[in-house]
Amino acid sequence: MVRLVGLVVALLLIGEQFPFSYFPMYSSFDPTTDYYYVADEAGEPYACVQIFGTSTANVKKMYRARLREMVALRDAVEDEATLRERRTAGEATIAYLRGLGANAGAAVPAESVTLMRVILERSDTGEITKRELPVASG
Amino acid sequence: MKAFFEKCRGGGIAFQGWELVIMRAAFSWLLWRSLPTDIPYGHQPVPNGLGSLLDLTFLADTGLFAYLRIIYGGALVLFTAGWVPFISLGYAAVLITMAGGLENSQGAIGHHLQLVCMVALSQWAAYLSLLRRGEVVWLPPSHESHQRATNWAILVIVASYVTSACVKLIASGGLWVIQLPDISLQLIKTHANVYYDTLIPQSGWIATQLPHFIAAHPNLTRLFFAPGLLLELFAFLALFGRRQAMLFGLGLLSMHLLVRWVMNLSFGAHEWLLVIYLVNVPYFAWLGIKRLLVAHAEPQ
Repeated sequence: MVRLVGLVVALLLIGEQFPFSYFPMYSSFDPTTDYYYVADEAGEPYACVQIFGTSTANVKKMYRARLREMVALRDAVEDEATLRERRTAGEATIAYLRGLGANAGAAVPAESVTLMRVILERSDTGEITKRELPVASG
Repeated sequence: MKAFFEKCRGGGIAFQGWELVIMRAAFSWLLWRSLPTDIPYGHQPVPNGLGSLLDLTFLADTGLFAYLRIIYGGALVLFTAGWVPFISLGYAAVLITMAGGLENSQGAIGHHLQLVCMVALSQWAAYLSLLRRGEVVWLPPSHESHQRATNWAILVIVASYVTSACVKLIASGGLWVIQLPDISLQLIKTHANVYYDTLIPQSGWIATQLPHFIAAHPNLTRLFFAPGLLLELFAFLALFGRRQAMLFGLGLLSMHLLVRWVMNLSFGAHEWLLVIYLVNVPYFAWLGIKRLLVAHAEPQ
């Protein structure tokens, strides 16, 4: 039991440092969340795994990691990111996705693509609303 | 209470030799299927964990990785046979950890490899400790050594679930159960992610209606999902013996299957680790058959 407690404390302290993890998936829930997808110029979505070799869940994580790095330079947090910072992080994510898709041998589109953000909100009465907005193109 | 503390001091489950062989074979199979066939990551844009200590991009060399993968297969065969695990399992544990380190250094941390890697590394560490004790390592280690490594695997699996429960309580400020109705948004999100990954429409009641049902029925949702938190929090009871391990293994497995069904989200490696080390089907099948045979052999 001492070993168990030691392991739990160690995992909590180390956090997300591969191969270690404290498994924070779904550790808290907010009445607002978002997801991302990649679309063509007409707004039609791409099959992300097939075209870019990774999932849309990963696209979100990649975009947020870049955004966090960017805003950290001015000692800010992700929620304080400006539209311009979001666009820059989005463009960097799209550029990375193009390279990743090409490495995986996928037929990456030559024309401009758009990273779309979908925001979901749950009201106090239990009603769910959805709105979409473009983050960046490239 | 006295019995509880005695169990807390327990030294792990006493396995039989054939059980350990089956567990090693099954874990080797899991390690084999967990290693990707090729690695497309030529860069480490956001280094994480091992990736922040080492440049792992050499694994993206297709020719080299193919050789490393062949050796990996050989190492897993040796490990299954119980031979030189400090080398055979060590090689496999290091290779899959490096592959996972590179994958998780792309700016997106996934959670399908951590537990597999931690279980492999913890067993390797248990075997490595033989060297310190001066045991002859070129021969198959003793039964006790294999047993010790397997009990470490179980400890790591259990610790990961308890940790996950603690994080839920810490991150939500103790309000995880209260916040549960907002899981409805996560359901919509995961089904949308599957759609935008594949463009295969997500139809059916679970994908289209369940999130709204959950959002509109908060207390029913809490009643339904809260047992998952309790299972994780009390997973340490699985260390108290075979039956407890099986019961918690089945409970946690049911939780994963429910998540897979409702949220379209699978943690396949976690499920297999529970099946291999906690549920331990071969032992309970053997026990059931043995009891049946004894019952039939008894004079009427």
